Amino acid sequence: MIRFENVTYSYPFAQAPAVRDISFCVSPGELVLVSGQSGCGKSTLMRLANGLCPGYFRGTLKGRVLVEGRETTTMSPGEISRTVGTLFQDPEQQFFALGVEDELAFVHEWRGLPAAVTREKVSRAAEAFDLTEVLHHSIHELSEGQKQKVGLASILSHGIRALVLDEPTANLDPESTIELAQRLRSLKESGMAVLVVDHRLYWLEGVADRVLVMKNGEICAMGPFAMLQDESLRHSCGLRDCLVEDVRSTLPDIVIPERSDDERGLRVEGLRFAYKGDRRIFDDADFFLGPGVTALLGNNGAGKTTLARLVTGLNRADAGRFFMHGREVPQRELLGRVGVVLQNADHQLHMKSVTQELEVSLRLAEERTKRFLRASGPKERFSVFELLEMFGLTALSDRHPQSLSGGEKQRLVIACAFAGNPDVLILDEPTSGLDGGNMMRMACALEILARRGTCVVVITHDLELMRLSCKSALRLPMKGREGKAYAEKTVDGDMT
Amino acid sequence: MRASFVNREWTGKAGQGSADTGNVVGLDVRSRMFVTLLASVVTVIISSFEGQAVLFVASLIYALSVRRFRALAAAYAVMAIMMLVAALCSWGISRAVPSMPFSPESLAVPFMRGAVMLNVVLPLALTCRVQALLTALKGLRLPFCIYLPGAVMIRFIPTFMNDVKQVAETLKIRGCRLGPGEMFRHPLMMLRLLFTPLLFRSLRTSEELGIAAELKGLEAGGKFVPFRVSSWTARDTQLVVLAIVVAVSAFACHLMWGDASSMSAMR
Repeated sequence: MIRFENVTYSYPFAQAPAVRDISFCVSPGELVLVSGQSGCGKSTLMRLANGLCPGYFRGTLKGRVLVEGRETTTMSPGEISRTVGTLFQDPEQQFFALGVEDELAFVHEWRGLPAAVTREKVSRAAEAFDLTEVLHHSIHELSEGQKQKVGLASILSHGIRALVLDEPTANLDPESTIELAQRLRSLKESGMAVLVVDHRLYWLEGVADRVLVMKNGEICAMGPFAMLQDESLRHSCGLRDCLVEDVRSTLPDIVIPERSDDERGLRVEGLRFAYKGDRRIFDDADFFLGPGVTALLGNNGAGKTTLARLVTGLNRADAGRFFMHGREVPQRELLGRVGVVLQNADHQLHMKSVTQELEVSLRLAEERTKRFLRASGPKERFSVFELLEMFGLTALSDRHPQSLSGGEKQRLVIACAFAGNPDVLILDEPTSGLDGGNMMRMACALEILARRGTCVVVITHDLELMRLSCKSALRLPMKGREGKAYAEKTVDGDMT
Repeated sequence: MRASFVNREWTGKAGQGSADTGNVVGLDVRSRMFVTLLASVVTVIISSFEGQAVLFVASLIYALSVRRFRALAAAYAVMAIMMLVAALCSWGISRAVPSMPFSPESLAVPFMRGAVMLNVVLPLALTCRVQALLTALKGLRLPFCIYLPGAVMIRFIPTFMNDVKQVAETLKIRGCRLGPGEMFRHPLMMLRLLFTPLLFRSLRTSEELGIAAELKGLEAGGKFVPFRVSSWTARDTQLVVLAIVVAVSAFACHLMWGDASSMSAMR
């Protein structure tokens, strides 16, 4: 179905090829998983399979990429898309409509199908992917898993015979990840050729027929999934674990010690909050975030993001008292002491170079410390050099932050948050899209920060990070003082 | 995510303006788009106070029919501030350059143009969702090269507004002060802080959309067949006819009584 024959490809103006001498094929009814450290050429491989390289990105292609026996260079990406469907990491970016039904119908309308046929296709796709209930919803109201279903349903309704997925699990919770794996298995069984590019490996155990490991643009290993159990291979190619333990149920709950003046951490008492016109998400909630790394756990919509926004003062609580290191702090002053790293790295980078970005963060942190006359909190500051080293950014120190890759930007914004030297740092999905090496780097960095006395809170679906870093868990929905559980359904806005 | 006020409610019947309140309920988006387009063309062409007065009164009634009085009042308050600033600047120039005397009459027509535009754009923005606009645009069967950029612009209004909100929020998180004082003290730095991420986000979004368009096989020359049935009703026709009648009346007033006021404004 998709065949690579001695493929070497270079992007325009690039000095070295992005991929070299690649040969493999994905047959109907087969699922091939491609992995490797960031920048190894995985995405280029995906773009070659769907014709974006060289069809859209231009560049030089040596060798042949064949789709159903036809060379991709003889077809436009549009033609190839009738056979090969592609799903991106963030499906929302490829939606042209704002409603689910309109998005499902969009391509059929533009392909000139009669209205009745389009309606039939939309209805079938919605039924197949359990989207009937959300068919008339805005795409902004959907969870990440639902968005992915819409993307997938839209692609599959075109009658494609091969599917390419780019990091499909980066934004999914473990349950949605398992659901996706089951769906891919059934697609494979129905004869679909599936090519998955991902850092996370464990979810495709028993589903992937072959694994292709890439390094520096070349295939360095190819074999069955069991091949990934070789630790030296994983280590040398920057891969993640292939077997991951789900520690969510075994992580101990946070404890709430008696209040004292010399305690270290953020204590919240009687927190109440509801979005306008909606049910209460927090009702007299009490919790204590002490030094160390705490996982903030809960299903989509449980209020994890809302909680992060409340304890940073971005959202105003209806009621509640906040104590930092034993002293009561007004909520409006929390932002000076509680840092938060959102997933939107693109929105957070402003300066001309990586070094400047860190320097500005350090300067702002100093100003803020003076402003709040902070007497307590971690005294020892990180230097620019330390931060560059810690996050593997030294070689990129002169680069423009917006020219970095997604994973590099993510590391930079977290480094900037470290420079802020907060008493509490909340990180929203800090490792989504990071390879094994960088995920380990992040785990070490969190450990270092926690050792310096910072209370680190991680909102994550990444089971590997959870196992490596988190020592306790704050679970949502939280029980109030009277022990009742609160509604999970919220209008929690996504941070991304 | 609640994208914006433009995307206020979602009941899923795109093209039917389901977030409507007031008398604009049930009107097709295309009729409202027509009114907006017609009003913007006519208000630019007519240069007399009398003609503008007809347009203003008619458009104000149209805006009031939406019954979103607070939103309308807020928009008028913002516009009043802008007009005041413009009048002060104009007065300042007249003091510095005596050959350019200041007269309230000369400002009346431009101000009324602004008010007319506000009166027609606000109901469109308040009473239809972005998806309804997109559907209406599809229904117009425009050429692909016109439809796609237009659709993408409208599609990304909520995303862009959300981007602006997030950039401001991330600056706040980092400890940047965004008050007017800082804006005046460090204008270039503020521009960098606010616009660099927005610029790169927009570039990235446009590239991603280009890729998505390629992968969906969208290309010029494709035959478009909408799957929704048009919801154009007799009321839409009435609105369009009424809008044309108002435009013609405004022209008539302009032609009959407009010369004198135009001349006096010029003087």
